[in-house]
Amino acid sequence: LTAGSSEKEKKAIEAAGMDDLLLKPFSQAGLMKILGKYVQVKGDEQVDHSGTAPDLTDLMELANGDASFVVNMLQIFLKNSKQDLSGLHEAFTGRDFQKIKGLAHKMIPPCRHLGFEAVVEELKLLENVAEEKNESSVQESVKRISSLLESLYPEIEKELRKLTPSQASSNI
Amino acid sequence: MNQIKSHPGEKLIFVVDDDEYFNNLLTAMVVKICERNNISAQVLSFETGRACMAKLELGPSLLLLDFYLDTRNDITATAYDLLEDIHQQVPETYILLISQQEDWTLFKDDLIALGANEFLHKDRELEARLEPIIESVLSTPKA
Repeated sequence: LTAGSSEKEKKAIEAAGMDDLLLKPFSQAGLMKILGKYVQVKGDEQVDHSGTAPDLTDLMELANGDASFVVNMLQIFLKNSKQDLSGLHEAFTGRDFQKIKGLAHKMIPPCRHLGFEAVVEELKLLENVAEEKNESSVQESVKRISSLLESLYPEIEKELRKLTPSQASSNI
Repeated sequence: MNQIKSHPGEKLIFVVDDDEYFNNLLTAMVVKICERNNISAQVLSFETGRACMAKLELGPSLLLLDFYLDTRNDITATAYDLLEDIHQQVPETYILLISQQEDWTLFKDDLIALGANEFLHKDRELEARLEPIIESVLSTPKA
């Protein structure tokens, strides 16, 4: 655990033999994520990154009371994020590191805007390891992003249901 | 996309970003900023450089251009490819480059030479930084 924060420091720490590091101040979700990498959760082969609800502060403010704006934005996020995620998997299958880097780059701003900081950090890491064409790191990173995003989608869908209580059934 | 109808004194703003989420977000921000500052403006949004070029003859006063445009294509085209064309065709248009690029310093001089006027990041400060630029570019001095 450290309050030091640069990528360079992280590399130095890893080079010195540490397996991972967690920067202070850290969130519960951040701690869980790192613990999850090393601790096998009993009865659950997949690590549970319990989903974080999207931060809708910005969208709500921009919407000026128009819930349909927020709904539309969240739907766009869901649709494109799922598309980009399968794009990542596809690009990895084809070992297209340039494509992976481009996709990761493109996925960052919407994730950041919705407050999905853990995903943003992971996408930045993916950009770097894709640039280095580091196959195993890319694979691990894509896996973590996948798992993080999959845990976020239900949270977004939950928000959508809250925002569209009357349309919930007619939309399906 | 909004309908094109021209009102006297109405300014035209182009938003060019191939990411649907950010395109919508930017458009909403620009509309809100214009409303807040009593600027009569029409915002047209484009998801490709090609679509933007096709309407450039309308002569926007301000153009917000995503630096990494057309990432869906095989070759990652950037604003470099568009900037020069846009600037040549509408030299009066104020071009604001927007990207999640953390650091512009390596590109800035090149991009200014090609016609860019200002640079912003896709971060939480975006709306606050956008506002004074829109205000100064679009506010018409009282006749």
